[in-house]
Amino acid sequence: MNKTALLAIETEHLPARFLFGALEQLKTNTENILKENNLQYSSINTFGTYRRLVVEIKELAAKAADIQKEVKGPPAAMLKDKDGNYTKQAEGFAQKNGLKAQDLVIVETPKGPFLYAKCVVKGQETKNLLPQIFEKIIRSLVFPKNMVWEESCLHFARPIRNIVALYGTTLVKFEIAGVKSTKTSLPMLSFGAKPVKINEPKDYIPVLKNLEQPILADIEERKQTLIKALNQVASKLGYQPDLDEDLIKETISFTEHPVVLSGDMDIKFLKLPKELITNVFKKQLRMFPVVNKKGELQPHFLAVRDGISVNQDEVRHGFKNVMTARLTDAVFFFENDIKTGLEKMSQKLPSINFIDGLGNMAQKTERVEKLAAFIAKDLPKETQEHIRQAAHFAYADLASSVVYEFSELQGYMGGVYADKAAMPKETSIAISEFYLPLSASSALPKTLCGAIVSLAGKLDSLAANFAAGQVPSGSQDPFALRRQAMGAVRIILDKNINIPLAELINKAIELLPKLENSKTGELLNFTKQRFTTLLEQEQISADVIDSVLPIENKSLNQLVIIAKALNSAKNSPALMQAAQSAKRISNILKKSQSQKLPAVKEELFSCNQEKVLYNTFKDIKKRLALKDLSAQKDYSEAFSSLALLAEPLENFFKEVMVNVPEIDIKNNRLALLSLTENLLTKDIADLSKLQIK
Amino acid sequence: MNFQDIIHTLENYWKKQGCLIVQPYDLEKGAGTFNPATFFGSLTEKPTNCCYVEPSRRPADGRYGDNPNRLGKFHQFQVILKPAPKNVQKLYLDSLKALDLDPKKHDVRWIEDDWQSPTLGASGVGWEVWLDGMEITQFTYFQIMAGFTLKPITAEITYGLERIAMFSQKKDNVFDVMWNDTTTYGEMVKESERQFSHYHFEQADIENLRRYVAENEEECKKLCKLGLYLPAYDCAMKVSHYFNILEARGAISVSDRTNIITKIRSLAKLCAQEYVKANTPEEKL
Repeated sequence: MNKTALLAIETEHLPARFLFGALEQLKTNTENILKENNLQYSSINTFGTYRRLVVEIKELAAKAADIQKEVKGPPAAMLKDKDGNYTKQAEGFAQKNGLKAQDLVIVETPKGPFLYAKCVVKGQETKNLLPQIFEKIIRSLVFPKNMVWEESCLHFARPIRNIVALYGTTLVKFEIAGVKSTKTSLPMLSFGAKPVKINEPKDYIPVLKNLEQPILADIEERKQTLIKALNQVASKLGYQPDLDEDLIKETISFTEHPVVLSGDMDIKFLKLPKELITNVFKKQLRMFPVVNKKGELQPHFLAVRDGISVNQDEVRHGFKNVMTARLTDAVFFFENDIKTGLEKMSQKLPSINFIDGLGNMAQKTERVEKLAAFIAKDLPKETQEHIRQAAHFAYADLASSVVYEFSELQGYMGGVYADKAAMPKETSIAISEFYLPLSASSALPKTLCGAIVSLAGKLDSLAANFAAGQVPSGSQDPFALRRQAMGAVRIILDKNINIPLAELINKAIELLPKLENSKTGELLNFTKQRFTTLLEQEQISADVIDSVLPIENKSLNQLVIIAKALNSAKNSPALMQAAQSAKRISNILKKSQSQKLPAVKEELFSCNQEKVLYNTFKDIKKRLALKDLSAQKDYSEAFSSLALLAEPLENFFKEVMVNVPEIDIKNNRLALLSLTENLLTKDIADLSKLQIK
Repeated sequence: MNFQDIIHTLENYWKKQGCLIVQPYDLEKGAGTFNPATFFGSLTEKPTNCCYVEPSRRPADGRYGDNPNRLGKFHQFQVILKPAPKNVQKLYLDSLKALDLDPKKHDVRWIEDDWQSPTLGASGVGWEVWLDGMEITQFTYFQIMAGFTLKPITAEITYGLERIAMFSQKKDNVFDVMWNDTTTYGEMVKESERQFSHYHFEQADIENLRRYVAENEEECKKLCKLGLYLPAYDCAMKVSHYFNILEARGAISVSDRTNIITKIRSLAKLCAQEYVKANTPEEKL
C-alpha cells in the first residue's frame, strides 16, 4: 500500500541565506534519487526552518517497480553442442543471470542470432530501500559553505542533531554523522523542551504548531503570519510597515515563529536621509521601518523575535538600544560627510584603487567625464554643463563614510551631498541615478543627464575590465559586466542615444591606457549579445537578428526599427528571393578573390540583363536617398525596394556568365554584383543572413 | 550582575561541565584564540575542555577612554571544548541562564558568522549570538588552525564580558558598568585607556617597534629549530602585538600589512608544526 514518507534533517542554526536553496535542492535531489530507485509517488513537498529541512513524499509506492532485464550472451550457435546438449558456455551464461539454459532465448541481431537471457528483476520493498535513500538524500545536499564536526567528517552546513525518518507510522532506521533516526522532533532551542513524538508524516507540521512554543514549519504560513503581525502592530501605531520583500524572506529564514514588537525611535534621527535609515534598519538591524500612507518614515521600528513574546518590554528596550547605537553611528558618519563635502571627497579619489594597471578612481572619473561629454556633444550648453558636473562627482561619494559603511548607498548619497552643496537639481539627480539600473530589468535613470553619465560610467567600466583581460566566462562574472552591458544597452535604447554602439565602445577604449592582456576586441560582440537578448524579447526571429547585428554604422534604436521592419518584410517572397541571390553573390565574390574592382562602366554591358540590373540598382539607390530613413514605415518601404532586385538578379544569373575570358567584362560584372551586394548586405541589413524557407 | 560576578558565574558554570580553569596568558594578545591553550589545544587528537578570562588588546580600537562603546583593552571569556559536545548550543544557553539571562525571556539569534584569523592561518564556522539585538558571543567550530585541518573539531565559545555586563546591568556606557558593587569599570580602566591611547596613537616609537618585529621573528624561527615551540610561540605573539601597535600608529601601508600578516602566519605555522611533531604518537606521523 502507498504511504507517505517524511525525512526531517534537524540541525543547529543554518545560515538564513542557505534555507531556500537547500529546500530547492532537497526537492530536486529527492526526485532524482527516487527515480534511480524506480519508486513511484504522487508528489514531493519540501518545507522547513533554519533548524529543520523537511521533505515529504506523498503516496510513495510500497515497492520499487520491477525491471525487465535483457542480457546479450554468446552467439546462438553456442547453445548446444553437436550431440544436442547444452554447452558449458550456455549453461554458465544462464546461471550468471539466474536462469537455466532452457530459458535462454535466441534473438536476431544485425550481427546474426545471439543468445539472450531475459529476466525480471523484482523491485525491492520500499521500507528496505528507504534507509539508503534517505542517507543518500542527506549526503547529496551541497551548501554555499560546508563544515565538519564529528568523527565521520560528513560535510554539511551546520551540525545535524536529529533526524526524523518515517514511512507511514514506521521508523526508517539509519544512522549518519553519529545521529540515529528517530520518531521525535526537536522543539525551539531557546525553550529547551523535550523532543516531541511524531507518529506519522502528516503530523509533523501540526504537532510542532501545537506546541506550547509553536513552530511554523510551513514557509508560506510563516510568511503570512509575519506579514499579518507587521500590519497589525503598525496599524496600532496608525501607520504601515515598509514590507521589503528581501527582508521578509530573510526574516522567515531566521525565525521558526516570527513575533513582531514595536518601539519608538528618537525623532531626531528622521533628519537622516530616508534611504540611509532604511538601510540601517534592513541591513544591520533586520528591522522593518514604519511609514505613513505617503511612504514617509515615522519614528518607530518593528522588530521581529523568534517565539512567543514574554518579557516584551525588556526585549523592546534591548532592540531600541541597539537601534539607537546604530543610528547614532549613522548620524556621526553623515554629519562628518556633510562637513567634508563632495569637493573634498572627490580629492580623495586618487587614493582609491580601480583596477590594477588602470589607475585610480580619479583617473576613471576623468575618462567618464570625457566619454559623457562625447555622448552629450549635440545637447544644449547648459545640459552639457550639468552632465560634466555630474560625471565629475559621480564617484566622489566612494570616499564618504556613509558609503564606506553602506556600499549599497553609493550614488544615492552622492546625490544627497550634491544637494547639500547646492548644486543644480539636474546634477544632483544625475549623480543619484549614476548606478542605475541595478539589475537586468530594474528602473533606468529617469533624466537624460543621469542616463548619459550612467552610460559613460558603464562603458568605461566595461572597456577597462576588458582592457585588463577580465572577461566574464560561464557563470564567472565577478564584476557584473553582463549586467553593466545590459544596463548600457537599455539606457541607449531608452534615451534614444543616436551614436552607433561601435563608436561608443571605440571611444571608451580609446580613452584607456593600452595594456598587455587587453581583450577589448571582444567587447563589441559581448555588448551585442545583450542587445540580442533584448531583440529576442521583442519576438524578433534569430535570423533577422543576425541580419541587423553586422550593421555597425547605425544606432541601436535604428537597428531595432530595422529588425522590426525586416521581421514582417521577410514574409515577402520577392525579398526572400533577393536574399537568396545575396548569398549567391557573396559566394561568387568570395571565389573571384578580385582585390579591387573598377567602377561599373555602362559601355561594357553587353546583355540586356546587365543593364536592367544596373538601372534597378540606381533606381533603388535614388529612392533610398530621397528621404532620411528613420521610422519603421521607411524601412518597410526600403525592404520593398530591395525586393525589386529579385527579378533582375534572377534573370542576370540565368542569362549572364560572370566568369568570361575577357577580363574587363568579367570585372565589370563583378563590380555590378558588388554594388548590389552592398545594397543587400551592408546598407540596411545583411539579407544574406536570412534563413531561406 | 556585576562584572566580577559574571566572571565567577561563568567559571563556576563551566567548572561544573568539567572544564579546567586556566589563567589568562601573561602576554599581550588581540583575542583569546591566541592563548596557547586554544592555539595548541585545538591541534591534536587529545581531548581538552578548559575555560579562562582573556584580556585582549586592540590598540587601534582605543579612544582615550572617551567613547562609551570603545576600548583598547577588553575581556573575553573563552571556553574550549574538544571534541565539540553534541549539546554544545544548549550548554551555552544554560550558561546564559546562569547569568540570569534566561533565553526564554529574551530574543536569542544565531547569525551566521564564519570566524577567521589571517594571522593564525585559522578559520572556523559558526555564529555571532545576538541577545535582543546585541552581539554578546562568538561561537565557532574550528576547522583549520595554523594551516592544519583539524580532527577532532573544537568548539570555541567567546563571551564579550563587557557587552554582557552592559546588557545585564542596562548600562549604555561601558565605563558605568559596576565591577563589584562599589567600584565601576571606569574607575578600574579609564586611566589605562587614556594612557595607552596616547602611547599607541602618538608615542610608540615606530623604529623600535619595527626592530622588535624583526628580532622576535628571528628568535621565533631559531627556537622552532630547537623544538622549543612554547617560547617560540611567545615570540610570534609579540610580533603580532607589535604589528597591531604599528597599525594603530598609522605606520603600516597596504602592502606592508599583507607582508607582516603573512610573516606572522608562517611563524604560527612553524610553532604548530613543532607542537604537532612533539605531541603526536609516532605511528601517526
